[in-house]
Amino acid sequence: MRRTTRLMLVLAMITALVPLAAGSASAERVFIRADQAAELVGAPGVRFVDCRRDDAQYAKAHVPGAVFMNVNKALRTTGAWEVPGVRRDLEELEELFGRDLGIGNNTTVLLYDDEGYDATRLFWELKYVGHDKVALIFGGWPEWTAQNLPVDNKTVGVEPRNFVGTIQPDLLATASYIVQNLGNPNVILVDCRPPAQYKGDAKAPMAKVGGRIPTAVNAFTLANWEDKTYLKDPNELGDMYADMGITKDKEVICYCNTGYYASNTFFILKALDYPNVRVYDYSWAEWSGKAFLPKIEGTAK
Amino acid sequence: MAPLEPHIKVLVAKDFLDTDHGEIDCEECHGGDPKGKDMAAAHKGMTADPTFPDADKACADCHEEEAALAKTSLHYTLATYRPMVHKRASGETKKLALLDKGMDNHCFSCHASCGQCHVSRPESAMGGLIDGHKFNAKPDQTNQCTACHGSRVGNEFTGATGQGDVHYTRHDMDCMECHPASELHGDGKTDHKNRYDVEGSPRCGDCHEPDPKVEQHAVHGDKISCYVCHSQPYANCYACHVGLDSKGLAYYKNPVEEEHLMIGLNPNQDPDRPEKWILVRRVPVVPTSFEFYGKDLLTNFNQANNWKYASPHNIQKITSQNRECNNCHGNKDLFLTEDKVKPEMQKANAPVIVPEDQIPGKQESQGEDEEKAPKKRSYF
Amino acid sequence: MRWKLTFLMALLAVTVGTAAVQASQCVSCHTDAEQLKTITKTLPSPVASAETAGKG
Repeated sequence: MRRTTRLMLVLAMITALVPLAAGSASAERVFIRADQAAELVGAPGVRFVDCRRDDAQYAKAHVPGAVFMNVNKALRTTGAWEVPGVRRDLEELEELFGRDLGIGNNTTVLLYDDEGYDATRLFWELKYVGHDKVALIFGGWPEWTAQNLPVDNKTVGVEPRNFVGTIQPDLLATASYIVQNLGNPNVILVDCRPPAQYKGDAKAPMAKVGGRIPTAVNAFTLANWEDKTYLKDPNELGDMYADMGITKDKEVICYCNTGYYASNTFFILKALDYPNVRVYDYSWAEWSGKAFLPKIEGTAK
Repeated sequence: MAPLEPHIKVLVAKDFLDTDHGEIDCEECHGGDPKGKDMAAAHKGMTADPTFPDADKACADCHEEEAALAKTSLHYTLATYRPMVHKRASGETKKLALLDKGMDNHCFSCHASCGQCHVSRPESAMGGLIDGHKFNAKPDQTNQCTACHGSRVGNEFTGATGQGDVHYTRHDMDCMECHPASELHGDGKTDHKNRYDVEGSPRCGDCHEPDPKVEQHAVHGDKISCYVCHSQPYANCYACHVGLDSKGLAYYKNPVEEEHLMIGLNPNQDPDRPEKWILVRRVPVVPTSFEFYGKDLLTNFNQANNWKYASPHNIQKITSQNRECNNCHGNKDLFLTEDKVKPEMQKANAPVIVPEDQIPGKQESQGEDEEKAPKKRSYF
Repeated sequence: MRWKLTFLMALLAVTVGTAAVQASQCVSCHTDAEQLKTITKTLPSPVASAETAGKG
C-alpha cells in the first residue's frame, strides 16, 4: 500500500477510536476488530501490548512490535492495610507506561490477552490516569491467530516516552464513597464475583469473611465472555444488565475481591456505552477486613 | 472446595459426645479396640465408614426405615450404571469381566453411604469429617453434594460457569430444597431405568405454574420442556478414559468438553415428561473409555444413544432462547441435527436427532413488533 | 474391718479408673486436636491420581 494511503488509513483508524468531539455523545470505541488492528502493525503512534500471562508464549509468537506486560504482576501491588492487588501510585504508573511500554500521551494503545480479563485491567488503569486512546482487540490473541494475522517472535526495542498521567477521580470509588452512597437510588453497586462468593458461601483467600456489600447486585463478569475473549452480543448483555437494574441513568460502582474482575465489568459497561462507571479498586479484600463496614455475610469462614 | 486438613478429617468435636449419636460408644459402630495400647492396636478391625456396604449394620437399630430404603437408593447402589454400560458392551464373558473390573475401580467407587451424606465428605472427594463427627440431618451442599456433583451441576448451579441458577443465586435454595430425603433415600425400587425414574424426582410443575401473562407459554403449551427456554448453555463432557496410573491410583481423563445448548426430540415421552422437545447432553462414554482394561470391550457401543435427556441446573427467567422467537426458530445451531452426530452413532441417536424439516421455522415479525423492536447495538 | 473396706474401695477405684481410662481411648485421642496434628504429620496423605485431567 502506498505510504500516503497507509498514513491516511492509520489516521482514520486512530481517529475512529477517540470521542469525536469534546462533550459529544458519540460512543467511544473500546473494541477494534483484529483485521483492522493488523493494518496498524508498525504504524507510528500505535503501541500493541500483549497482556497474556505466560511470557514464554509471548517469546514464541506475538503481534509484531507488541510489548509484553504480565498485568497481574506488573500493575498491581499491596496497598494500605495490606490489601493486595491494588493499583500502583501515579509516579510508578507514569514510568511503567512511558518508559517500559513506550506509551506517550498521544499513543494509541491496542491490547490483547488470552485469559479474557488481564487486558481489561490495563484498560481501566490507562483510563484512570487519563489516557483515552486505548482499545481491546475483539477476540484477543485467539482471534488474531484464528485469522492467521501476522506474528513474529522478534525482541521489541522500546523507545521510552514521556507519559504524563492525570488521575480521573470519576473512575474510582473508595470505601467511604460507597458508604456515603449506600442509600442513594441513583447509584448501583455491582458485585462482579461468582455467585457463590456473592452469597458468601465461598470466599477468596484474601477476603477475611465470605459475603458482600449490602444493596449490591450480582453479575459475574466472566460469564459475559464466550471462550474467554469474545464479549457476548451487546443487545443481550444490555438487556441482562438492564433487567438487574443496572441502567445508564445510574452511576455504577463495580467491585470484586481486588478490583480485577471489577475492571472487566467496567470495560464491558463502557463497551455498552454506560456513561458513569467507577471501579472500587480495594474491593472486598478491604471491605471484609473492616469490622465497622456493613456486610451481608455468608457461611464461608 | 479446599482440601480438609489431615487432623480435621478425624477430629471429633467434644460437643458431639453430648448428642444422641455421640453417646454411643465408638466401637459399637466402628469396631476396633477401644482399649488398644497404641493407634495400630486400637484401629485393628476398625471401619472408618461403617455405613457401607451395609447400611443396616450401623444404622438400622434406630433408623430401620431409612436404612432399608437408603440401601436401595441410587446414591448407594449406583444400580443404573451397570445395565447401561453392559448394553454397549461386547457379549463375551471374558470381556465383560474386564469391563466389570474397570467399573468397580471407577464408576462404582462413587457410591455415597449414609455417613458420606450426613457426617463426612464422600470417599471419592477424599473423605474427612466436616463437622466434628456431628450428624447433620441436612447434607452440606458444598462439602457433600457438590463435592461429587461438582464440575457440571455444581458449577452450573452456583454460577462458577455461566450465570448460575436463580434458585441458588436469588432465592437461597440449596440442593435439598428440591431433592429432599424422600427422593434421595430412594423409593425402594431396584429396577430404575435411569436416575429420572425415581419416585419423588422433582419437576418444575411441583412449584411453578407457567405464567399466563407470558405469550410464549400459551403458544408452546407442553410441547417444550421448561429447560429448553430457561437453561443456559451447559457442559458436555465426552471422550472419558479411565485407568490406573503407575501408583495404582484410579485416574479419569476427560479431554473433550464443550459448552453448548442442544435441543433434541424426547425419546421417552411419558406422563411425567410428556414434552416433545427437550435439551440433550452428550454423555462422557466413548468406545475406548475402558481401553486400559482391555481392547474392544464396548463393541456394542452403538446400541444406545449417547445424547441424553438433560436437566441443566442453570435456570434463568430470561435467557437468550426466550428473548426472541427467532433465537430458536430457524436457528439450526441449537438443534441436534444429523450433521452434529457421528455417522456410526446416527442410528442409535435416531429417536433424539431432529430432522432438518422438523426444525421450527423462522417467525415473521408483526408490524407492531417492528416498532417495538429495540435498536440493534454493535461494538463496531 | 476398716482396712478391708479401705482395700475394697481402693480396688474399686482402680478398676473403675482403669476402665474409664481404657474405654475412652478412641475419644481421648480423637478429641485432641494437637495430638491428631502430630500424628497425622507422620502419616502419608491419601492422594488422588495426578493423571486425572479435564472436567469430571
